[in-house]
Amino acid sequence: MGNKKLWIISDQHEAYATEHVLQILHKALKLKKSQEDEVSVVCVGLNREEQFKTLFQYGANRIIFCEQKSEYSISFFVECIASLLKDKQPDVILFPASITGKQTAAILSVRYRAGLTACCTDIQYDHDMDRYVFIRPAMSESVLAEITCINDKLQMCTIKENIFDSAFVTNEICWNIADYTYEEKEAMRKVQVLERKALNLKERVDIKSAKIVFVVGRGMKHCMDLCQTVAQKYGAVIVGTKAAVEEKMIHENRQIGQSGISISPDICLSFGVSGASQHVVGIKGARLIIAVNPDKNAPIFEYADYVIVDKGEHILQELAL
Amino acid sequence: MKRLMRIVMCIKSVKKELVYQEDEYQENYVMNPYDLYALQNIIEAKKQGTEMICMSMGPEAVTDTLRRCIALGVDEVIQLSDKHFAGADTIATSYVLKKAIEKIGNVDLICCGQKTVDGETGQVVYALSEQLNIPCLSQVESITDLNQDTISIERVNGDCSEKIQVGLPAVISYRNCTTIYKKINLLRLKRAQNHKIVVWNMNDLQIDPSMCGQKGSKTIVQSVKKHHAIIKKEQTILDGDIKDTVHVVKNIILGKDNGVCLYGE
Repeated sequence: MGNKKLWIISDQHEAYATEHVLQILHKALKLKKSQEDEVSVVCVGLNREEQFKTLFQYGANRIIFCEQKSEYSISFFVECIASLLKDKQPDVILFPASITGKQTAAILSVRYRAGLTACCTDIQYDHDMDRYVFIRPAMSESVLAEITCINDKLQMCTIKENIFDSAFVTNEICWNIADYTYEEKEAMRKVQVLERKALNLKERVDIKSAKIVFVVGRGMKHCMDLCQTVAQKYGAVIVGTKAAVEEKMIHENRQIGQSGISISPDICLSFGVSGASQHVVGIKGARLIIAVNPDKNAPIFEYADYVIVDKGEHILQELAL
Repeated sequence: MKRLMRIVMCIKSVKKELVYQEDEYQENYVMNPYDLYALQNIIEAKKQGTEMICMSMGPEAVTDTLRRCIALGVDEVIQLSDKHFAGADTIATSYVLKKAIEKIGNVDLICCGQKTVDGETGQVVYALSEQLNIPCLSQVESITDLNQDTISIERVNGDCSEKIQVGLPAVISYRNCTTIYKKINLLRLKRAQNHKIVVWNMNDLQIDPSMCGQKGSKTIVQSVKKHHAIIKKEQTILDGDIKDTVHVVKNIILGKDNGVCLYGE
């Protein structure tokens, strides 16, 4: 028993309080069994007071901050977190499932022989057994597995974005920042970053926060111009299936589904999408799905709120008027 | 004389129904689509004269998949198979892979797929780099340069595109997946049937039973429940006149439909 130390590792170098981190923070707060349990956010990078403030506003009990002024390096980040874990021995560590988060979690799981569960969709505290249960989908999301760790200290998991909600807690914050010093060693930078540049806005359309999306499948290949015109008219963002990417209809970073991203718009209009399970898992967060497909047996219809058996092109032409 | 460059590709066989909807394949197991993508790309990226070895931890079922690798142009295939390997999490899996890579020896580059479609953890590539204490470049979009000493890649990391270079040996993984064999020649596939697959067990790899399989794992699966990720909904079929249908759609988009949040206010 005893009090638990729950840690969230921010995967950023500067903007620590990302929506993703705040979502994980909110979940961690719900895992507190009592006031004595402590939820800390670990930040490595530049000193950003307003970011810390946001983390406290969203309920962090403590921030563990390791200042690192030189350019971000994943190897330094991993070694710094490794040193922190060794020193402070938290019980449970929650990582964002980004490249940085996953890499750090998996490396430290091997190094400290700590159980790690990937991409949890839920975490529960089991009072009877005094243990945490990590829940995650597997097998193309056809099953949910309940996983526990065999080791006691340093149990880890990663969490994808938009699985949990974030929630503002209070404006009456109490600053509680523990500074930590960790020196970078020369040998740490094995990986040379030749170039890092922010993706331009065009490449970075924030599809995750789009309210209305048009999802296109292979069948819409010949009328992408029309689709774009209509999307613009209604303020919709165009995304698509893997097939649409292969047909060069949309850019790869707009692929929805198992090998792409998951979205949760208010309205999702799909045109010419058959609805393979690998794709549908990417739109299951949509509040309302309108599916248009000429094949009345298209699997997508089973998941749709509104069914239109017709060619996408016909509907788009009408919408354009 | 400098020795040949040696690349090891780690692959996994997964149940067919996770990959192909139709009965286009006779086998019950097929190559994990992320591994297939990585394998075909690394074969294209490597220089002439590079030695390619594929290995896979798994039971009898993986042999078909390994034969396909031979048909794709891989030089050697190794099956890591032992009843003690069953039930491994990513710690125990990466340990067995490490022991096999050490047994092969002189490996310059290890290549993996991003994740498998059954386990879907995406952790093994990083875990393996830690086991071998070498750097790791994950989520590779393309290799811009590959030689005996270094590899340079491009990838997207969050909101940034990155060009990265690292000295070898290193572990890499590709981001994407495919279910399509680009060029698998039937004659070669036939020849591959006679290719002898090397099988290594726990003793061959000098592995202590407490370090592999469920015993060597730090996580345990308590239960697996059927899960319907996507809730099938009550449908409203719009099959009237197209103008009426689109009118309904317009109203929904413009937020004039109850139950949908409002826009443009």
